Amino acid sequence: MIQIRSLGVRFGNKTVLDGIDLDVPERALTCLLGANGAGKSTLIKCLARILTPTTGSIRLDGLPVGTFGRHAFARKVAYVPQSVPAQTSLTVLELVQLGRIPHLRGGLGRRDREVILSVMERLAVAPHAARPVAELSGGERQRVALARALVQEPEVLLLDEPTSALDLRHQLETMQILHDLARDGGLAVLIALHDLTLAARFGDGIALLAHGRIQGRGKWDEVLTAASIRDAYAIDAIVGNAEGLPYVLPVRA
Amino acid sequence: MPLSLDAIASSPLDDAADPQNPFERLTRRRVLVIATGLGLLVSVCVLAVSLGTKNLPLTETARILADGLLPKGLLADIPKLDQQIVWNLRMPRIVMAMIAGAGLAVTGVMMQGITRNPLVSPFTIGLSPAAAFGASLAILFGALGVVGFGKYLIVAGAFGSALACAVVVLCIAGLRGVSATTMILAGIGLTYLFSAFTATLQFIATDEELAAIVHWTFGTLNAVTWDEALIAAILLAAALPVFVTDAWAMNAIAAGDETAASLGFDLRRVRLRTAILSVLVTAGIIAFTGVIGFVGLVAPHIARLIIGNDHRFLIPFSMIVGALLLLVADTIGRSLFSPAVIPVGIVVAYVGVPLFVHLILRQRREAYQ
Repeated sequence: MIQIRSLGVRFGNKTVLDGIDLDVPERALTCLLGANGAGKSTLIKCLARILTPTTGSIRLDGLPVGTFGRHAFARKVAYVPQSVPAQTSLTVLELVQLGRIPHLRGGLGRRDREVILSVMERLAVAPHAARPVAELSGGERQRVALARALVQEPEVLLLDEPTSALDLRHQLETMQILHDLARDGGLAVLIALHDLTLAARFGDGIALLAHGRIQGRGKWDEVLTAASIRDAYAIDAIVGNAEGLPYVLPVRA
Repeated sequence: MPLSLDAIASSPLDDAADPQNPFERLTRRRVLVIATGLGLLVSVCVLAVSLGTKNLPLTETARILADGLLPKGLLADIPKLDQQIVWNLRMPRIVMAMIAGAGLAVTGVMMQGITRNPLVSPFTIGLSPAAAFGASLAILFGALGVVGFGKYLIVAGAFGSALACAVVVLCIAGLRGVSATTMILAGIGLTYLFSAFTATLQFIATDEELAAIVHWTFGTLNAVTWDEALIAAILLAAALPVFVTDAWAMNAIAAGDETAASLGFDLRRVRLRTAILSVLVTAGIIAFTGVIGFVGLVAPHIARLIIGNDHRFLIPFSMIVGALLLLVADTIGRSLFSPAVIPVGIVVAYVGVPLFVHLILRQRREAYQ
């Protein structure tokens, strides 16, 4: 599990994140919400150790993340960026097998290959194994990127808008997979999302970022109110319930 | 269906028995391609040794080569003259052709890898005009007149100047986080600068010096000695283990910087290390041969189109392709109008471009997206 304490990020004299306190527990799907520029991606990149925070601390299983070696850290924490470069030269299999790098001693062993193939089967990318990633649709590409992260067999999974390029069916499928990974696989999953309805429906916990700070965190019905949404997104929205499923309906900007 | 990583890891799988297993299929094909390439390279090598002003029969060539490689005295009755032709005249330039081809190709692959840009080679950062400037400077300062050492003054000038250029480019790029774009832009800038330097020197050179400068820029393997081939080989051999270990890093960079960093790579370090070693190897080769730039760009692509972009296979195979390309080009260059020798830097374009274009047209368009 990840603990973030008084984390701040400044680029030059621009404060992007300030005083962030957040726990990302295992066996739970935590959704990170907030408008464009609120600092979602920056926070996730700090957790993935792609960016170094200006202030504050991040602990993984109680230890400061800096105490882990790069590959040791990558064995525990996997990160799925917003997008894989569309012009990448790799095939699907070549991209997915990258996830084994933190585990490798020499070449790909038998277990490595087993993990890779099973994940590809489960995410339905196995039929595309030999195809260039550049040929895939945006949605397929995102699934391949997710497969690559799962192949890492992480304890913590960080995803930056994993459903942004997906159609409705694949959005639901992906969120269900991530939900199952958290519940049944015991992972700590943190997702930056734009879709408040998906977050309310699948998130075990929600953190709402606004203006570089955490504006609210907790269960969806504690965090997502018309007032908090107006503050974070500058829109009027209706938060409701239909057949037991929560939804957030944006009304006007 | 609930998903857990434990369930994933324990699912049964038998590589060898499953014809659908993509690992089995792809790996077997790629290993076969590399083996074929190696076989072809050895055959072309023997053929190249046999060809020349005095053509030797292939069997005789093979016997002389075997005699030199095996312990002495196993094979008798080899004429001294033929032995000398093979081992002292032809082999140094053939070995150098292969080392230069392999070295320029692999550094091309690595530079394309770290910049994620298919148009890059070590020459993109201005190495060849810089080397040409160094060589020109040495020539202008009288290297032609220095008996015995003159050639090495030119080599040192070319090597030193190429390194100086690389240091400037890498410093500029380093200040900006070793991004591909800065490296390429700085390289383009220095390319023009050094070309201007060289043009200035040509402007004030005497006719004899001018001829020597222009001839140097053709790129040739004439009069290559064993010592020179050895130096180039040592540079390549020193860099190669790092290149091979970085194959996974190159694959990861192809998936994007963020992905690569999240997999545990220190990209700044990988990029800097690769660039420095590539520069050393390239400068070490062209200092002896003159500008043979095309191989570094085209051999990696020919290799990519045949074997794919997985650097674990691409690195060795591009070396084979580069070695073959330069060896074939040099052999054609010295046998077509024998005893006249066309510089390999010229012939390699005639040989490489048609092959390259043919492969581009035959491939699916996705390879270059």
